[in-house]
Amino acid sequence: MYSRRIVVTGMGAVTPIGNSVGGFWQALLDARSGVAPVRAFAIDGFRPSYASEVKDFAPDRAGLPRKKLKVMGRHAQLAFCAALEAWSDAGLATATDSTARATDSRATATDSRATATDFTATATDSTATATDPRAQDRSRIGVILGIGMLSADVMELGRTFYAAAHASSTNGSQSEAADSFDTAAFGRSAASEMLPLWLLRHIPNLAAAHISIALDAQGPSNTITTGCVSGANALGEAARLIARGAADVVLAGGADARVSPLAMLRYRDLGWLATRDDVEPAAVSAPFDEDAAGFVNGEGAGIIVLEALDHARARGARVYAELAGYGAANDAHAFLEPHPDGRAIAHSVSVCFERSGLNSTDADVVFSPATGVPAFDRAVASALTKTFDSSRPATTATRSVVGHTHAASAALDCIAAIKSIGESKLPATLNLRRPIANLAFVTGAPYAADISTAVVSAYGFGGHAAALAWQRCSS
Amino acid sequence: MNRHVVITGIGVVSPVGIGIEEYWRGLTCGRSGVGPISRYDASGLSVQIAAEVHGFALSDYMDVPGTFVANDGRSVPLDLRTQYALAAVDMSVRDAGIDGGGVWTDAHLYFGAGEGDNDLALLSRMVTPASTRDGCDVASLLAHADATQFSLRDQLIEPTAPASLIARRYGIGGEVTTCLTACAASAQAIGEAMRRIQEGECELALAGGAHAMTSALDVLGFAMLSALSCRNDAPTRASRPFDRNRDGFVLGEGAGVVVLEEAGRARRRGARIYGELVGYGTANDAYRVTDMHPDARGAVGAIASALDDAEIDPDEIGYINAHGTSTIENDRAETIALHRALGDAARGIPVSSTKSMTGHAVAAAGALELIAVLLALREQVMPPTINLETPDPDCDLDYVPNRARAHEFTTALSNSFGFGGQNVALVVRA
Repeated sequence: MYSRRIVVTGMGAVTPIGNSVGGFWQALLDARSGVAPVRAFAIDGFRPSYASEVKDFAPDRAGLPRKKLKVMGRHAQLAFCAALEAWSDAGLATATDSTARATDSRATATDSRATATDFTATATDSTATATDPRAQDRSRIGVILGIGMLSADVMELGRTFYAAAHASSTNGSQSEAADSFDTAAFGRSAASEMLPLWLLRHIPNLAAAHISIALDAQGPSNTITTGCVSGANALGEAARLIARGAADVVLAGGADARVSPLAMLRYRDLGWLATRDDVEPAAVSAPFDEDAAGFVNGEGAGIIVLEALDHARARGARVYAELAGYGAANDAHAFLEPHPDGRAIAHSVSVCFERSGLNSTDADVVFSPATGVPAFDRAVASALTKTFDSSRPATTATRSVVGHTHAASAALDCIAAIKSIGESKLPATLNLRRPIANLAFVTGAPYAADISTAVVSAYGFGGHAAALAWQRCSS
Repeated sequence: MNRHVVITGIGVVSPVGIGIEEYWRGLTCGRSGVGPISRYDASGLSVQIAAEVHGFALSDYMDVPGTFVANDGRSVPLDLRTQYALAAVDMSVRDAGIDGGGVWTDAHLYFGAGEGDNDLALLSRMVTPASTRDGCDVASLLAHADATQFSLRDQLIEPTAPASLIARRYGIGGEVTTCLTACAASAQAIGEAMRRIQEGECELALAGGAHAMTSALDVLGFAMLSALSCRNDAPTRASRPFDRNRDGFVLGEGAGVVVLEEAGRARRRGARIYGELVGYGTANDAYRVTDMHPDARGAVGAIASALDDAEIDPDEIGYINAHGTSTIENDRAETIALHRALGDAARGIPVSSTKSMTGHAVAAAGALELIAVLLALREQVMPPTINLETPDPDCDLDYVPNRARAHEFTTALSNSFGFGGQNVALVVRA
């Protein structure tokens, strides 16, 4: 248990199965798969032709002005909208409220008020809660996100390559071998073909920057880039900040948007993407199943408001759950393959339990990081079997429904875990017919179950693993 | 939380020198590492200069090949960022006198690193056949692209690749974190690693960063943001922090790594100690994505909180290594921040920007600069701010212009301000 107790007071989600926490949770319980034919670009003839995309996402309706949208990568847009939902859900004062009484921002009050209005017009009904004076100390509010890598935009790049190839041939520099690359021509073409601010879409920490600006969060900020475990690590870092008293409120979670042509090529060629077309797209993502053939590429964002219990109580906030502990570890084994026993998974869970004062029999459910990539699923199964051999808690894999949302995946699992504690229900693992291990899988209909402790395990390439233990908040 | 954290090993790859002694010599003789871009034809770019690392070969430092070999036999060259990282870690571990064995099993690794560079030629071979005047025929790209090389390369430029490969090499089984808060990343990594030792999560950690944003796409991206110096005709004079005629920063590259150890552990094994990390502070501008807050509120917050953490008064600081990027805005705002955070003491404390020589290594910059501070502390000499020829009335501190200077001091501050508004300050003591 943390020396300063840490609780969840708000959540936000933009996912392939729902664009709010409510929608996400209901679809998880209904096991409504997010996997469908790709809509973002023409994919006819490519295998796989499906992915798990966020649908009907309208960031401009969520309060994002078009001018900002142009310089925000899709992952940042997803993160931004999830953050606004979480903030509003937590009933915390927005920048708009605080600007009126801010002391430090005299010189810039006009500007930040304009920005805040742009961003938060639709975000909140926080006037009722804006009276808490401590919520106004913006230097005690932090933002820590786990963010993925945004592939180059093939439309922008293609246009530039096209212009460069044509400029090269008209300049008579064809004498070079056909496959040599003319950097100079590319550079000349880029000036006219690429958006001047294109780089801003790709800088990972700008997602957190956009959110910090909109919410006037002047406390510590960090962006964690540990691939598929990023969201879990971000939550762990946020908890450390609160525990040591460096912040009272931290917005934390993950966002990723890798359903792009180049990412599809990358993952297919690495052999991680499921390419089956003998079943419906919704039946492809099959973590822990003998027939699993890889992951389904997905995207999304999950953001959680972590808050010191003392701070939450002082402002009368609703508390969803408590973060009992966090642990992380590395396989120190291989970059592209898991350690066969999922060494880091077991290690991260044991560090998490040790710090929480829990043991494996306390876990009522484990949200597992199985994605459907066979080698990784076997490592996960092996580690969970060993770690929980005596207690056999219910085990589920939400990626069967959501697809693999990479840096967002662990944060979304945390939201599901927190909901399961509050709603006493467990979402089932979809498409699990022939399990590769003898774990207590939740299959078929969602379980009704009294959950007081839910463990989220995260794992990914690079040997990274992390675990978080969420508990019903006792007084 | 009363554990002390000391630095017992240093590894550095920089445009002004590779290895501790060369790096220090480069910094103190005031030599610029900036030159015409040598790795590709930059004539089509508005900015044609960068601070590149020259004379580097991974095989000079360690017995690993400069390629990554997958289980299926495919291989790709490691990007420069990863190569620099591996070499710097190797140097730091040898410098600390730490032998292999099981010492790393419970250690942590905290790295600030951006993506490796995109291989434009590789991308072009794949995308150009499907390219059109308006963009790209995606269906044709997906149907015909040979992504065999690209896929492996693209996976290995993930920000976390250097840290993961280091963890594998040394058997680091504790928490391995990669963060990317732009130009503050490696300073933040060092600060957060320090906390993990203070709070008893580990006794030994490797921390630092690596980055190489000198590729055509990187230079182009920052040039299009109008952030870079355009002095193509005078590369060595392009990075001129605090000079009135500064016109932007110069992209650099490299890696800096420090071995952090709990003080008791370091003493017990008789380790040589470069200094103690005594203060870390961070705060966010929450102002604009591309501009610093005009009153530098985030920078002020970070510095004030680092001093508070170190439990020192401003006048105890003997030397400041500035973020000092050489953009009009940063150097003015940083000067304001030092005045606001340090009050009257600011005028009496020498401040220099080693970016005047190394260029701006982005995610690696904070680590390179903390290392400069540690060496300055050891030698009692401050590296200069070179190219400071015409004073700027907005920059009115003692910037140690053009010549290294002997100076007695025991405590120093290192600033790192990240693009996007994330600010970090570190304090070290002899």
